[in-house]
Amino acid sequence: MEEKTDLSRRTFLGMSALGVLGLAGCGGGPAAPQVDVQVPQALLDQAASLRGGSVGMLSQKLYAEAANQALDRSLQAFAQATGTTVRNDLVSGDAGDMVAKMDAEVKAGTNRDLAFVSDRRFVGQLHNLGALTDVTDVVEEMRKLYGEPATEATNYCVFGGRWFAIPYHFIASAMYLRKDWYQEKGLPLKPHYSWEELRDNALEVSDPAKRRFGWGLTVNRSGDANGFIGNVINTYGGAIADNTGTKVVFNSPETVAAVTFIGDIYTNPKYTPMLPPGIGSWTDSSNNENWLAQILGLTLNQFSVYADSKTKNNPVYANTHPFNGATGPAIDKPLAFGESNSFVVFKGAKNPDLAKLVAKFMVSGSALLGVAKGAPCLVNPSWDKVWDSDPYYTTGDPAFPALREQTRTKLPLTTKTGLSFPQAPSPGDQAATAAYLLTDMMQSVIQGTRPADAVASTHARIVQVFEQQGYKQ
Amino acid sequence: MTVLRERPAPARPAPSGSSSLTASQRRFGRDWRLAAVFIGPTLLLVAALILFPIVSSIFTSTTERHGAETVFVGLDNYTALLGDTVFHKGVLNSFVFTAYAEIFKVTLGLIAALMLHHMRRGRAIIAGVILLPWVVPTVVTAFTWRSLFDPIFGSVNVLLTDSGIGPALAAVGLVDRWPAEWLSDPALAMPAVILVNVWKGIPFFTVTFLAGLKAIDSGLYEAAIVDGASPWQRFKHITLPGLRHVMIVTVLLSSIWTFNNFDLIWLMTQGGPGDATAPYVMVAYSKAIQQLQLGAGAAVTLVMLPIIGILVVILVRMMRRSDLPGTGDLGRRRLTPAQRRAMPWVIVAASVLVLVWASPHIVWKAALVLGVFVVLAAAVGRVVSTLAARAAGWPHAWSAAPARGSRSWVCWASCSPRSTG
Repeated sequence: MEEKTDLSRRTFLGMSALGVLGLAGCGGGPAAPQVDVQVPQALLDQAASLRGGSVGMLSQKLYAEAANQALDRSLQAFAQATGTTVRNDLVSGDAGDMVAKMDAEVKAGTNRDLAFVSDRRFVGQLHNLGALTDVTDVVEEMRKLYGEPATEATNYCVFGGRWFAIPYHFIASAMYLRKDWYQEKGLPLKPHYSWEELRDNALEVSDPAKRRFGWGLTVNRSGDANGFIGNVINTYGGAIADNTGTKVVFNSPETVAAVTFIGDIYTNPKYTPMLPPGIGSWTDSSNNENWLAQILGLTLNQFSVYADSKTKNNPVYANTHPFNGATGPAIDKPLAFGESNSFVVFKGAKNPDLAKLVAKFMVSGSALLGVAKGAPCLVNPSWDKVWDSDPYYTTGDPAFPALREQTRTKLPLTTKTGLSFPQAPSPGDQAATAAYLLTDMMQSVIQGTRPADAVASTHARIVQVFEQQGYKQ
Repeated sequence: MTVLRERPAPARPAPSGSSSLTASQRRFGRDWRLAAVFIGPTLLLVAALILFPIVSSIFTSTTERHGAETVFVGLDNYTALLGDTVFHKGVLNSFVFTAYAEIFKVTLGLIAALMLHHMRRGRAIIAGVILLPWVVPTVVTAFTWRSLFDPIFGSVNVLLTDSGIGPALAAVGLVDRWPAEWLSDPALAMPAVILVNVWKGIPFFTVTFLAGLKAIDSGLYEAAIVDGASPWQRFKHITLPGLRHVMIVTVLLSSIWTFNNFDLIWLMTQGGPGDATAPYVMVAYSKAIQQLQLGAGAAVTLVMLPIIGILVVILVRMMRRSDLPGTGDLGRRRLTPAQRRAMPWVIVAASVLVLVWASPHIVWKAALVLGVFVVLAAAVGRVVSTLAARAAGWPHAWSAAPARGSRSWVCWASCSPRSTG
């Protein structure tokens, strides 16, 4: 009898599945750093009366998986040492619906006890919705232990003199440029540049034939574009709202000048060589992808892109020059003061005392260290003395000294036009930005609308948004 | 032989003066208590899960959030929409997106269904390939196509450039320049997201049309062939009428889904560049979730509810009509034969005019692309049919249905497999 040698369908499928499993086994991200997490004795003493209790926590997903894993390990170490239960769920801050969901949970009485979220983006909104409890007592206690928190936190976490969020870890503001391309052209590497310098340098280092595009900043609908457009307008002396955050002052000669500057980059054929094809459709992940693909000379992002290049051994890491940001005609310092991911305790929390204790623990040295190592330079201490708790924070990366300095930035930073930054958290400003009014304005300029007209019509739309939020203009 | 039976006469209600019935039995029926027990749980569920949220959202739409307070503002959220250019653009985008997507899905779905219907070998493999887009999660679809459309790293531009098709597209004006920036050019972004929606939607149309084709009586095709009907006449007078109800229900269902599509566009463009691809649902999402103004967001969706409602009513009527064989189209019976003949053309002309007004930069490009697809499909069908006819020794592929187990591709649009197999 002739032996059947053909590959049967079953054999083929089986081999394919094995192949897929094998490939999956070969892959995988960087391993989570191992850190011996210790719960301080003082916290163990405080937790004695809470033994057997449990808390639910929401964590704003960090861009490095290793950091998320380290966070879970720290929480488990706390739970084991204190005999409590901590349930942690990750949520995406970029999905755009996080605040709405958290608020709905609080109103329905089904909320977790605590969460950590960006203080710049979300704490003001959650406080405005009446979803947070006062945590001033915890912050005062932590001041005695860890020194002062990052200066930005006193703006974003404090309302009416009371703290409504506990700074957890610091996320720096930064821009990145290609050190090697600048050096090839003899361009200086500085701690900050003006926007005009950055534009001209970007054009100089560009060479589309070599897939080198000097300008990696989009104006398409995305958080990155909102940040870029807002920053240029601010450094030119304009803003969406005044220092109280309640009155719209968008339509100003400074804003028109800023919008003209940005519009020129995307419409003037002179600058076409420095714009990567497709930049007009970039969303939040696009500049990261293109930076890591080593085709950009400049981009603006959180340190996630830097951390990613470091942990995955991308060659671009060695060629990256992180710097504080850009200046404009209205201010000679970049508006770079960062933000903190901060713990908030929700109204209606089932176990607020344990929630506060978890927050206190997570800020401490060893609990944060694994998370910080998992996302180098993206996750940094918010509290002054935590920077000294481990040699990693001083020698782990050449960028650390500048990052620590950013946590100490003297605030407010004031423009020649009298605007102070960071501005008071403004629901109207937040809503107008979230509605992509700035990016849509830039698109209309690219389509041929005069900058002054685009600014005027956007001002009218911002006024509508503010009035809808209850701020009559 | 088909025997047509007359519909049974409707049962007459019981005489109103029957002394054995109570007043409530006369009003609601003899067994109204039992009926209430049966229908009660369903009514309760519908009220709790559908009616309550709708009524609640109507109340929400009359409010604004001022900080932690929710204040009543009457119809302000609705009147604000009158001057809201973003909302107007969103509605227009939704209409354009839905109209083109449906036209392409119907045409290409029908071609695919006819092809599958008449294949003898490899049908399972082809069906699997055609169904693949349907089973791929939307998030995978969106990010895959985003990558494919990328002007630097994407395959679409590379393939079209290497094949010479890309420069040709630019030469005939289908794209403004080459290499094309599919998602960042406002003129191309909408066609690009429509293309992906069509790619993902074709399987649904193919499957339903295929089911419809299988339900058409093969005797009709045999009779038509005996009477000397041409393939086009068979397609026009047997296949299309046979698919009419399936087509209407499929298009209406798909229109409702497409009109309310959010995820695909959000993942591909976030509505950009600018608001070039932002549909009205994205405007609602922006107001309700991103700006935390649930009232304004609810107003956007409620304003559009009547349009969806009209589609649903038509759908329900069609489905009920198809449930009742023998019930004619009462609306069309009122028209004269000439008016009935003219009606489809009037609808087509009106639709084209609306599309020209809503999307002057897309309409001729879409017509050209669609025309090319149809001509290509017809040409391929004809060539394969001719080859098959020669192999079988027939004098002319168009003259008769194939026999002896070989199926003609030329009759893929006009034959039943059983009639020729």
